[in-house]
Amino acid sequence: MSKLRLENVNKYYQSGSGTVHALKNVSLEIEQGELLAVMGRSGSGKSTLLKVLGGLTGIDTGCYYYDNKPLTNKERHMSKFRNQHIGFIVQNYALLYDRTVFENVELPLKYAGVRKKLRESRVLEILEQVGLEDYEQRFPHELSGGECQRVAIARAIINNPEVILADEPTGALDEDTEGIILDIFKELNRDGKTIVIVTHDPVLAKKLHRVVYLNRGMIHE
Amino acid sequence: MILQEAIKSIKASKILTAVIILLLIAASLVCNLVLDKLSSVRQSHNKLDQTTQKSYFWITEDLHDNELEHRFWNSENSYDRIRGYYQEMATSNEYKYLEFCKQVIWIKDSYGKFIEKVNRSLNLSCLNEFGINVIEGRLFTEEEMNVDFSTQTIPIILGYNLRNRHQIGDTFEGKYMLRDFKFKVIGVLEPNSYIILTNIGDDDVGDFYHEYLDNAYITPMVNCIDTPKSKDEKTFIRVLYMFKLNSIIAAPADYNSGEIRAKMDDLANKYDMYDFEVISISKQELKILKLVCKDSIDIMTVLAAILFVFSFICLFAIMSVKMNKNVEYYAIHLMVGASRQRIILYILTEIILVVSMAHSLSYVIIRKLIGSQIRYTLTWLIVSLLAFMAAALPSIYQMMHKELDTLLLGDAYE
Repeated sequence: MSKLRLENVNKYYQSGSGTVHALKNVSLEIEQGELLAVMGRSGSGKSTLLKVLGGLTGIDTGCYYYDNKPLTNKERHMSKFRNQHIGFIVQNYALLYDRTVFENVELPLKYAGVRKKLRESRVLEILEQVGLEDYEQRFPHELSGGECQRVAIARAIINNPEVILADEPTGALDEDTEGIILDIFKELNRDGKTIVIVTHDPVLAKKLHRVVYLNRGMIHE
Repeated sequence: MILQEAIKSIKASKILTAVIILLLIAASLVCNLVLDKLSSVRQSHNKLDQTTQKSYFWITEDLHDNELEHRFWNSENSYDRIRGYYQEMATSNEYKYLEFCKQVIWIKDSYGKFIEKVNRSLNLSCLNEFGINVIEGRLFTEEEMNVDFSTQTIPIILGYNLRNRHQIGDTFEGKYMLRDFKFKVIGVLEPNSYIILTNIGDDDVGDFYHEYLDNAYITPMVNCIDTPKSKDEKTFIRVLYMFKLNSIIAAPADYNSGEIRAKMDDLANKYDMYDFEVISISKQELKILKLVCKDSIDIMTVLAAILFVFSFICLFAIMSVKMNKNVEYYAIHLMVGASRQRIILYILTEIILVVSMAHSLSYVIIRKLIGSQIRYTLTWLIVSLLAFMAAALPSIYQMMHKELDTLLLGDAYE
């Protein structure tokens, strides 16, 4: 059964030089429990595809189904969808630099209305899972790139989402750290999570179940 | 959670918040000062405007013939006659009878010694004519304007600069019109309260001048209907009515001194009184003062407008910087599940917090620096709030209409 399904999706952007057709009639099915790599050149539409899948941006035409249910562009619908089903990891980690690791990871639980005691135990549990136990009172600027990425992963999985979307999660990391991050993703995948990773790295892509290529907004498998 | 997030956002940009608060304090000080002065000058202008639309006459005893006065006081029923004369002079539907007395009162200090203090005694018409009001306590009542020889306490109002010397409700011993009384403090006058009095110029025509009441003790210009028996009581009545008959008459513009002279002559015959003079008061100086006031109002209005626009732009610019910095910060909240409505609530709460903090601090600092001599105006509160709200509008617009991925790009997008 497909977890995520795009049918003839088009997405346009306004940029300084005019309208950019970022996704052209994209159709894609991602199965439950799949570990998928999305590759392509810069500007090919990889990140846009990921943002569409994560509900960070709406689509202009076409249909997007989650568990075979259509997803609308309505903001209330999208924010609920993001909070309940999606864990998103962006390129620059998107951490709040004035908050501790604990507070950053705790944030999605607050918006989900989880009680404080439950939040505390859940955050500590997730931090242990990504190897950041004892880091909860540190601030992001005290961490390395790999540690920041693990905080971003912890925050993405804290709500136990069914789908994890990661945009270049190992792009700025050394080989050892990249290995640690990949192991975390594989473990999450073994737990049944559907994971989509955008990457430039063919070595990383080969380690995943399936690779799709984007070229000028069009998909090639 | 909304309040917590707003506080965290403020903490995250401490330096910018501090700059905003400092800017607002400086702007509050200058804008309120200008607005306050503008309001004072406007009040003065209005008072002068009213004054120049009336005719004023100064009634004063004829100082050239003391013998007549001496004979009057030694004649029969003089005390009843002078009170009858006063009663009919002061009661009129055509004019206001303004009683004032520039004198000193003696107040007993903690060593039992009488100390001389500046005192101005005024009747209710005088308070009303010059728009005198209190910032604390109350003015005199109709009943308090009448005393008899058993009265021991009379009310007193403090000029603004004396407000820290006594508390409302305090009583102290002293002398009023040479007679011992207790004074009970009932109020404090507004700052810059003044009456317009007259004196005789070189040309034997009365001129106006402003008499500020900030440093004076204000007592009622009382009436006393008891028949005096002792020497002290007689002296009190003589002094009191001597002052009460030296008054100013405020009448409509078409009223002339001949009408007053005729009334005074009739009453003088009826009560066999000594002579009083009627002096028409020139309004030329008042008209010049009014013109000066008008010029000051024009200049200050332009100055206030420039200051307000400048303050508005400064506050708007710096708050915009803060709000723009917050866009990326709030986009992260959106990404992890916050709704856009909630983010807008964060922004509004943050603005309300910054505005409240900044105004509370600037209020306290202005009070500490300048005291309560300048008022914290509602106009300034509204202008500053509008500046902050205007600064927040672009961020609110972005939060409502931009896609989340664009918001996440933050400064890079801008």
